[in-house]
Amino acid sequence: MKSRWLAAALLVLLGMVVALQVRLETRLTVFFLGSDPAVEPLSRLQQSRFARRYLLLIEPVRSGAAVAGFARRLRVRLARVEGVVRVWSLSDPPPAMLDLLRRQAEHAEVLYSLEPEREAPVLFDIERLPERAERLRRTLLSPLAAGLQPVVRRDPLLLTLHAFEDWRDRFRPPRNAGFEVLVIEAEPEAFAIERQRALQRRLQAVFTAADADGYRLTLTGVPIFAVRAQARIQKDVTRVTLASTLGVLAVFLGLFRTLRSLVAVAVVLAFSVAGGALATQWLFGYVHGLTLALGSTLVGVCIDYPIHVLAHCAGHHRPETVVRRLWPALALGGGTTLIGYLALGASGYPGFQQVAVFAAVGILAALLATRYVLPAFVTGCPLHRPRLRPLAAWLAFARRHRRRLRWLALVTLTVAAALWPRLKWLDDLEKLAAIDPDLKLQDRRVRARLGGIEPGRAVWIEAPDLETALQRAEAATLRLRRLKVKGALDHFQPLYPWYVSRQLQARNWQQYRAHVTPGFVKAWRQALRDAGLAVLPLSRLPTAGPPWLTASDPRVMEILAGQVQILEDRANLVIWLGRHDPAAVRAAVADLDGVRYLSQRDRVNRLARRYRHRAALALVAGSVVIWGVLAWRYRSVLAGLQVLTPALLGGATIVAGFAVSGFPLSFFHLLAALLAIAICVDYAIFYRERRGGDPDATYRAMGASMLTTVTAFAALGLATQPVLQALSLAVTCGVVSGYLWCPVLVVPVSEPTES
Amino acid sequence: MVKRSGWTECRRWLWLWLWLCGAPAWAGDPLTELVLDRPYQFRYQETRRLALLTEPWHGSGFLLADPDGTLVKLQLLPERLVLVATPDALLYYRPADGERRCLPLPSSLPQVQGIVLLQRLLRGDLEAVRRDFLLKTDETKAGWRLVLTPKGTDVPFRRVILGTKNGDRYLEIQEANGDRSRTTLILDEYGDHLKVRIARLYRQARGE
Repeated sequence: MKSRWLAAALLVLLGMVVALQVRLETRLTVFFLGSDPAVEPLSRLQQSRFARRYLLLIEPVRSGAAVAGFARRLRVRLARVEGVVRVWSLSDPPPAMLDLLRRQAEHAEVLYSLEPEREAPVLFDIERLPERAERLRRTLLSPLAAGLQPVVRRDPLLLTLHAFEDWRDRFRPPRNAGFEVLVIEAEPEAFAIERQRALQRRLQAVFTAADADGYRLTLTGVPIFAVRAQARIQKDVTRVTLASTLGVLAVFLGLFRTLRSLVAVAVVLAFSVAGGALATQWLFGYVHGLTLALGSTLVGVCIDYPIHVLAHCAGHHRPETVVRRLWPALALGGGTTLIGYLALGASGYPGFQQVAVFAAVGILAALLATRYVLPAFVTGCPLHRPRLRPLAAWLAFARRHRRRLRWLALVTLTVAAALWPRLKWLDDLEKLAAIDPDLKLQDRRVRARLGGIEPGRAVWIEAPDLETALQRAEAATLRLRRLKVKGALDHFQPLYPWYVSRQLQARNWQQYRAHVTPGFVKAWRQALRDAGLAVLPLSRLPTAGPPWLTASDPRVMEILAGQVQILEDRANLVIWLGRHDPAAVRAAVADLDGVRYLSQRDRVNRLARRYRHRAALALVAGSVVIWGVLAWRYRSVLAGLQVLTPALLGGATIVAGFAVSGFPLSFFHLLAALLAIAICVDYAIFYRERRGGDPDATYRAMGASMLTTVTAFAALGLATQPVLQALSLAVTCGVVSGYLWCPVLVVPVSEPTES
Repeated sequence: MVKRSGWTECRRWLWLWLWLCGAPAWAGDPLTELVLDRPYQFRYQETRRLALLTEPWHGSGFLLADPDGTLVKLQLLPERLVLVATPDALLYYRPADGERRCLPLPSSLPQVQGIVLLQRLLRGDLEAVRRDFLLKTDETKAGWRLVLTPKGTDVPFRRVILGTKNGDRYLEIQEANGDRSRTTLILDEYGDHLKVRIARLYRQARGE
């Protein structure tokens, strides 16, 4: 009685710590990519400012209908919404841009060219001055020369405009194609889910109140995906946990028909889940929703240990005695399952590292609770023997036809081996991440209208300091310009001439001073006179200086959102790319020091392939380690192999099933096969050892265990995440198959008589 | 030196629009009757005096205005240019080099605040107009004139004058930096058939 209260108090305490400490994480990228150094920098930059922005596409339902008026009214309303920092139209050049252009004009002589040595002779060619003066006159009379007058007065040679050649597209608003795109910058971080959800509700209310009949509104952006993913994961966690727990408990009650034993088992499981969650939180600083969903299958695995005890106690043995007698087999079974989960973590896959920790600690906690807590709760409890007639019939059949069935096992193994090359592999993590297809479609529609920067693909520059980084970025920009001329790149967003390295500024100034001589100024004055332009205000060409471009205007960061990252020990720069030929861009920057082409998707998929190889290795290594442990336990390599064989056959069945059906196999399936092997080995161990002294009770306990495990993993199939579905299908099939092969392939320590 | 803001032409042009809208029904209160009843086409002569040009600049061509709020400026001399203003966008097309530009209207750019004023006038929101501008109407034997003077300093023009003199219509804009322009207009033709011409020039400006 005393130990029961002690256990209950400990459990309550654990529950409180879990409630207070555990932080639930729902970002899919964290589970799928973790903080891989190869992928993380670009993600971090993208998530900085970009991530907080929503894109709202406004299209008229009736083609050709005016949209600007409605967009304007909506924009005013949206700007008033709580949590919205600002709203602007993508077709509107940012007001700050023109001001900034004037500011850059103050430094025209040090930023006018990326290749001053090559371009200066042409730019400052005296023969071409009349042409330049005519251009200046045209600019002055141009009706759309917005904001250029101050630029002209400071920089009459229009060197600034030459420098901004790569940015012309930004100054040229897109053709009015009958739609509007509004950018809504939110105040909360993209992954501040609750605040973003509230904001999205408020935005939706504005759309509803805006009398949008006749217009189609499509909203996209990182926060939309984040909120939707969180909702889906939460739903998955709830559904799977509930179905798994209720299913397992229902199976349990159906088998043992006693509520008290249910309480006893629940105590063991509560220790297991709480222990797993706490260990994960302490090690990782958070518990991912998918880990919880996967972790809930632990219920099905860990319940095996108390079930074995209960099945043997039903024969009126004292629980203490039964637990002590079963303990070596339980510990061995738990140990082999643990090895499976640890191999899962060793695959290097970020999400599964967490699952491995969760499961390993959960299994240990369940074993210890079974050994030291369960007997106190089971003592005096009326227990019934579980009835599993179909399984008993199978046992009898297997014993009768063992030899033939062994041949069948051999054939199955051979067929599985033969089918291995026919397996189709799925290495696209995006498909496995199951991003909401509707949202993806919506996002694609909006971005197709923009035709602009491709998300997730960029030229990445890193250097120990900003000056070096800028020099590298300038070299990369030159290469990209050439690609643009060749047609391999639509457009790109360089940092030049917003940021210009000191080295390039010095080179520009040097060329400027060499060419802008008194003779040049005289010729320029003449050209101005000939073009009918005012000589005095337009011939003041700066010669004092150089007018260094130093501190950057904070408004520049608005334009270069997510392109500059200055850290203590290094500087990272990004050049965003429009539509492009990845191979051409990669080749163009390949030989530049500290510059590389980064495609998040390609990189992620390369990672997925790497994970697959590691998963295959984990499968083999995990099986070998389990075999080693079994061989050590039974002092015989062959005996170890015999106990392992039903589990291997279970794994082989999974592989053969996928090969025949033509479904693609991912590294998740391989890891699932490993998990199935680790779980199935337990059955073989129990079947071989029969430590309870009651062979029937052992097989009943195995059957009950198998049913609860299968129920738990089948419940995982209710999740919407393909990863969880894959695990569900593979483990369920593997476990059932492994269980059924046990009486065929494993020879018990003392074979019962046929009678 | 006073800084000159951009969009000079745009502002000048929209004042012209304002004036044109009022022209056919000027007999009453000009501010309350700024409504076109049918499309109009005018011949125009424009003279600009810019501080950065030694000589005045001259341009000429046609101006077309539609009651739906579309205004087209077809400049023929010194070179062909097409400018189209709809309530939603301002389009520019220079056939010599094929350059096309488009700016949504109204923009948040301070340089197009003249258009915002125009929209207020066309909406009949006189209260808002009077909030930002002083309005003065003069009548002489030679004709009449309406003078709009901004109350604030953030508007890039100093004064806009719309009027008639000896039967000629004119529009004068004085910029804050001292640049000035004067456009005179002569009614050429009017009628619904002009809609086709306006639509054709609009398509040309959009590059369709």
